[in-house]
Amino acid sequence: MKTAQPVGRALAALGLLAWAGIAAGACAGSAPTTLSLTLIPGEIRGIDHVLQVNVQADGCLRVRRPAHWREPGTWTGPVAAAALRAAASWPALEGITGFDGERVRAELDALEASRGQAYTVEGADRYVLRWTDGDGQAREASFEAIFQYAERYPERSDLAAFAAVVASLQDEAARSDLVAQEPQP
Amino acid sequence: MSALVRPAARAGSARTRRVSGLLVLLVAGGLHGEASAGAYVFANATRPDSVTHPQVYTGTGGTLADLTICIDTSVNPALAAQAEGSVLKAVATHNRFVSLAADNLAFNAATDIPSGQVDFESTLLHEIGHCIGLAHPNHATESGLAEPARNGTKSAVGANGVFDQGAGADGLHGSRDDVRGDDINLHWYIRNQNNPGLLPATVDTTTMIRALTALPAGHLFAANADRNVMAALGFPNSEAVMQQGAGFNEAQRHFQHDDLVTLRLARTGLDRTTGTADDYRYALRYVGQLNNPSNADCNLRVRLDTSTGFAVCGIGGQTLPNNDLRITSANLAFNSTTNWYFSPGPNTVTTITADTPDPSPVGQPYTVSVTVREAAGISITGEPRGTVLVTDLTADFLGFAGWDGSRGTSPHTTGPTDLLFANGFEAP
Repeated sequence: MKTAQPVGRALAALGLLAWAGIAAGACAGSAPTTLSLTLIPGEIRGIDHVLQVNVQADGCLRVRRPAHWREPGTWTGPVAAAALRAAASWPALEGITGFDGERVRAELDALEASRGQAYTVEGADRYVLRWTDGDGQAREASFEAIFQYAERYPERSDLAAFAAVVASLQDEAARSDLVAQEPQP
Repeated sequence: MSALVRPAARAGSARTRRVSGLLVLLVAGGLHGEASAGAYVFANATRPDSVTHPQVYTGTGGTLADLTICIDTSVNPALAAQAEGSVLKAVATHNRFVSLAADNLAFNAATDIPSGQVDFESTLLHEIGHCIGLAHPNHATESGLAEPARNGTKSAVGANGVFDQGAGADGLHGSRDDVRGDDINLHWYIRNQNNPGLLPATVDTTTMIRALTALPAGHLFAANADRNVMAALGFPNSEAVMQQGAGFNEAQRHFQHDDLVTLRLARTGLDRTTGTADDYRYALRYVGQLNNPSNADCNLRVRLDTSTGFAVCGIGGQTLPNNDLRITSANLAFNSTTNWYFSPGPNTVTTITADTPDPSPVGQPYTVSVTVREAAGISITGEPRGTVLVTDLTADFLGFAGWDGSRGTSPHTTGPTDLLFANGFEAP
């Protein structure tokens, strides 16, 4: 395994590990996933381009960074955000329970048409969230170009909630203190 | 690459003036002289013939205000600064407004892109295309189709509610023999040609059509400028910039004819007839690095952040009276964790090495010598080749494969023939 962190960030990571109660390197294994993000970009082809972020029941994070990232490969570490560790009761997830991406898009398209307007995102990325709720029920919600739509329609709390969950998982995926799992591409 | 060209000096009353000349030079492996068209964002099953126009067009023709583009520094300012050179180059490519039939695509050692990196400029040019109205000419990911079926020509689903994408006898998705059931074509093509490697002298609805009623005999559907389709048509290393899909070490920094014809068709205005009052033209102008700019500050906002997994353009539009649409907002986003290659400047240098005689008699030709060389610090396999366009003592190398377009200039004077001394000086 390798790390690629400056000293300051490494110290911060040590603090995080102590706070999380998970020893460094303890996240190399796999446990059931309680929350995940799959991000499929539209405008790239021919290479591994899917970001996969899994929050595990053991408080660990397992990230598959796509080949076009600066630091691709599989990375692990303890989950940093307390809300994500308690995903089952995370209000943000409760806020998107029942989120129906197709219905939302149809509503937005109808809204634009009623104004004589239109909105599209070319090359839209597809975001898929999967989680297990407090009742142990598997949930899934998906949307394309969530951040662009959330910016376009700030009045839509469902888009804002979906975007917030995705952003939290993306922040985790990009953390510089994660540990790379061999072999790297 | 070096070349000699002979622009014709234009007669004039001024004793000393700059020369206006126009000449297209086909150099080593000259290009085919003709382009088919692509598709427009917002066109769909209910408005298949709708054309999408940039923000600066409201229905009134002429030379419009500049369409502006900027880099948003409110997030990742250091990365934003790195992107500036590529933005300037893409703006220059747009404003050059020329296209190639073939060799607008290069890979690996035939480019200046380091191994394992994605070319920001190529991706940016594609997204700018969206932000000024161009759609993918192929089905792309928005269709939900998998590779290679998503390379089929852009269309909407027909009455059966599904894409009937079939590659046809040649096995190539996106070619003229695709079997498409009741799919509704959205791709504009050249009447009676259906060849995305050609460029008609006139681009309007006398030469272009969206409906499938002007296909040549034996053709089944509109062909698009997919790289495999283009290769089969005899146009190697060629693909529309607007075709979806970037990859590692891939440079696509020059418009292919399919891109340019789609832009030119839009510029014929609401009546889609060239030479009429609603025709329009405009330039793209970079206005700098701005902190959280509004649409009033710049029309095309470029941001590097995590609002996309790779690259997107979000486009707002407004319906015009003829059911065309005018873009009202356009925001480009590029993933900040991607291993981008930010090209700092053109990888070629174009120099006018001589223009003789100088001064030259009014109305007489003169010879311009031009060289196009690799820029300092650049290592690309082979030598630059392609087309140099000389006008008004400006030499524009149009680019070729991995070689960027670049410009050289030189002063030149003309005077009345009978007042010109043999030593080249004019009479007082």
